[in-house]
Amino acid sequence: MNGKEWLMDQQNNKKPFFYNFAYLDENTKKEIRRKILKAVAIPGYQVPFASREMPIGRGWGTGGLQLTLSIIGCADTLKVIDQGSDDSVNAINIKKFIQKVCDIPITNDTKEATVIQTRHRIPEERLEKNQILVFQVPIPEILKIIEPSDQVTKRMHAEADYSGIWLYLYEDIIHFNEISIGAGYPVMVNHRYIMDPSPIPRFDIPKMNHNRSLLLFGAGREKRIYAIPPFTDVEPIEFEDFKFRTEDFSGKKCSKCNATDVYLDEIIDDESGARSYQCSDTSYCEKRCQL
Amino acid sequence: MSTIKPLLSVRNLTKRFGKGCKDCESLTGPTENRNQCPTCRTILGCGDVSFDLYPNEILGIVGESGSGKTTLLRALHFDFPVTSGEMFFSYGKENNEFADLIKQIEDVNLFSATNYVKRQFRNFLTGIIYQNPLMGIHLNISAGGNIAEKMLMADWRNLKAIRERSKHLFLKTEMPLERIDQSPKNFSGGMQQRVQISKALASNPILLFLDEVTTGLDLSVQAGVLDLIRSIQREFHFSMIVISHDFGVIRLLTERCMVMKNGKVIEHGLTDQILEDPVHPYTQLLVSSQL
Amino acid sequence: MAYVAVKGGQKAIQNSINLMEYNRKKGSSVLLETEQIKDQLFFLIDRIMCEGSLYAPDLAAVAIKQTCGDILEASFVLRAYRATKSRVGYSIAHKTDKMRVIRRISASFKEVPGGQILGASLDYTLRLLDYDLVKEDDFDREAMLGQLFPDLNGADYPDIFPKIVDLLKKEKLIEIKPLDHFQQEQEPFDITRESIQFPASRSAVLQTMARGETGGMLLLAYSNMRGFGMVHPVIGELRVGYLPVEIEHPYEKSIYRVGEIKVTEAEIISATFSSEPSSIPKFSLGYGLCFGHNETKAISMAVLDRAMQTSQPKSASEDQEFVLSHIDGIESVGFCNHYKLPHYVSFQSALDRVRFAQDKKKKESPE
Repeated sequence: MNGKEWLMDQQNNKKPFFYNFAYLDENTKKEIRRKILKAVAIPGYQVPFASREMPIGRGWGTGGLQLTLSIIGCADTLKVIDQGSDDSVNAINIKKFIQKVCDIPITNDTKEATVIQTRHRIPEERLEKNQILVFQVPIPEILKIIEPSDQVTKRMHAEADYSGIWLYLYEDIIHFNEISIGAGYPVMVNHRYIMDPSPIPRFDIPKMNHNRSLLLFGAGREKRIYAIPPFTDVEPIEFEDFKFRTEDFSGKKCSKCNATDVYLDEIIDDESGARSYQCSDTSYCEKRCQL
Repeated sequence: MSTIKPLLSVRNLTKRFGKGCKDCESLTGPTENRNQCPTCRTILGCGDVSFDLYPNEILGIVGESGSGKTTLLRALHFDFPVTSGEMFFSYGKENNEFADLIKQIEDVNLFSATNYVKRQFRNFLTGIIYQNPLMGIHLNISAGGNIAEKMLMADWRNLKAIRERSKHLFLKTEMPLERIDQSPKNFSGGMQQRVQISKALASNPILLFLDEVTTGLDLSVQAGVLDLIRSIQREFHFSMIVISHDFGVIRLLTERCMVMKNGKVIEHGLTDQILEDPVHPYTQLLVSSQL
Repeated sequence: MAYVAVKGGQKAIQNSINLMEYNRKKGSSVLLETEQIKDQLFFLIDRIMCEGSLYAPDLAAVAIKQTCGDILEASFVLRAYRATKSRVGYSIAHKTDKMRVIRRISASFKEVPGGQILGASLDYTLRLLDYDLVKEDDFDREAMLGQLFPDLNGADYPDIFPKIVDLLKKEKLIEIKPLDHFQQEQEPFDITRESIQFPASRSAVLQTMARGETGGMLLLAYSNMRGFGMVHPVIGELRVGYLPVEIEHPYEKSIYRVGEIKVTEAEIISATFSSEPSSIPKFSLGYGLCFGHNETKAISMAVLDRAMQTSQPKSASEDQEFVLSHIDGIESVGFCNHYKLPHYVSFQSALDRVRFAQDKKKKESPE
């Protein structure tokens, strides 16, 4: 049912206390949509917004949630994952909440979903142009690695004063012959802004470059929205002679479906410390197992 | 016959610290013998300064403390916004690596440009050496890292090239190569100054600013630093603006100079001529008391 | 066992929720009524309303009962509820000199016009554990209430108390910062409708602090009092009382009184010479105001207000961005606890880095 039908239904059922379709009031949705548009117009730039408190904790996905709730409609199908899994506590709670405040279909299938809310992973199956990927972002400011003050980092972005973060990489290489940044690796978006892609593994970064779908990023606690429109140049920052390197899973495969070209979770089997590996993207793994 | 266009053209540069009032102009300056307006307490940093600087030319600015020479330098380096005035940059040398940027700023009054453009100008085209080396280098990163930072600011992205140039500059400024990865924390004042010099030169600037670079160093060290600067300039032909209260430094390094008092330029011309035959009584006083 | 790798996460969550409910109900004691919480745990109610940023004692009582007394969780529930309510209007802005005062003290002078009114406070109680409270009965209660205040004559109590700080301002002893010291504001900034940017306007600063978490603000104010800062506060006036909430009729423009709210207000005088070196030395002020009866919070807020007005911040309590970014209890508790969520994907990425780096080192110097 659409927004109006939803409200009628709530009133007819004489609920003493009911919410607007998708929980947020229309004015909030309007503000968030406007900020999304601004973010899409300036790829990689962090747009401030008046983030509302939600019934889940700050730091638990309120930013991503506000984005999802502002864009979903009755024609959408929703998928929510955390660490690549549909069954994680965080993902389940979010789905539970969303279903309570609007009845849109939920799916585990990446291909079926029109809106995917994710914490820290991009699904293995390629996304298409009718899909939107909403990222939950804990700390939107990539320059916090070198500077804690928002006032200063704001100026740095405005002036494209990024020498600090390049220096950080340089010093790592000189001292350890290896860059220390694991997940959430800084990327240059549209050749202008350096951006935090949220704590996704480096493995997922190449998927962002010229992605066919719209990528939206929401940081609820820090009150920022940013976006990467489809077919945008997104490049991890790297030196000509010290290239960006994704996580190394050579010689390893998923113990369930035998996949070797996916991001794997390391499982400690028992007290002896023996290791096995499983697909982080659980629904993709299931699909493969069913074939 | 074509005339050489000046590298830098400054017109009527004025910087006041304070609100300003109608009396400021008439009640401050060398004839009034004061920098501070008695009516509104606004301080004249420098007033109505105009000059041209040509490629491969070294201009000196001499005066005592409060003369406005440091304010002038800071204004040219965009350390703060000016009260009024214009600054133009032009560089016609063929095959120079900064052609795109220089074309962009041709005929643009740089004082009214965006902070983004100002930063590009500083990063790519200029270098600065401060009196206090701690203003120009970070103690929490290695000496080599400090030098690398300037190159990173000028978009150098090849580690080997960066590292090679750092080593090359270290040797050129007569520093021991084995200390390149140490922090400048424990370096002597003279060595810290050499790190600053290396840093300023690292990205092949066209314009170098020197702010009292030898003040505070031991006399023997001073001589060494001055010789170094002179020989490097002769090798690379960048233009320099040299600030000093010491006529000895001005005589050694510069061909033309301007004398400042209470924020205004009171005399300018060929350095040799001014030293031999100063016209303005204040210049006569300065010259006679020093040499 | 990881709580993701197994299917049935949904069931596990439901069981966890059921267990919480079980823990609340399993005892043999009588179930709490929200009325009891409201009547007898009023400081707790006040704190929840203050940090939840919603003046609603009944709802605060429900929140406390629902969260089994977890202050931060209860404030959170109230704040989340507030976020669902649409804005229907604004009350008329008032000065606080017409407060219906129930407690009023000043540390700056021994006697002040209107007098020092101690009111009800824990300040003067001895902190000796009163074991008699384990078993109280209604008979004693009735008896005690009957005995109290038999000779009370309300006529002696003044209606309005003059502001002590106003008297000092008249004598020009206190620096009054001109309006353009704070960014000129035609209307108050609303931090729930616009994201705060730094440097923040005065109303944004006070709003953020009014809903700030008491412990966090106390920490920062305490650090300033101990020397990481220069406020040196003296309490000009501390008031607890009721302020009227009034609105303007949208068409008739007549004023309607909606009700009143209990607030705590602190005005502290910073007893160090303030203002430009060349002009006349004066004292400066710090202001704090919050919902309910919470003196620690109001005093801390006033100290921080003054601290953040320093032109050259040197310590954390003086750094506006530092203070305002870290005092919201809902944000800080959420982020602190979010670390319990699975982070194994990013950890895997970090493991990859350190293993790779170690391998490189081993290859360089094989042992």
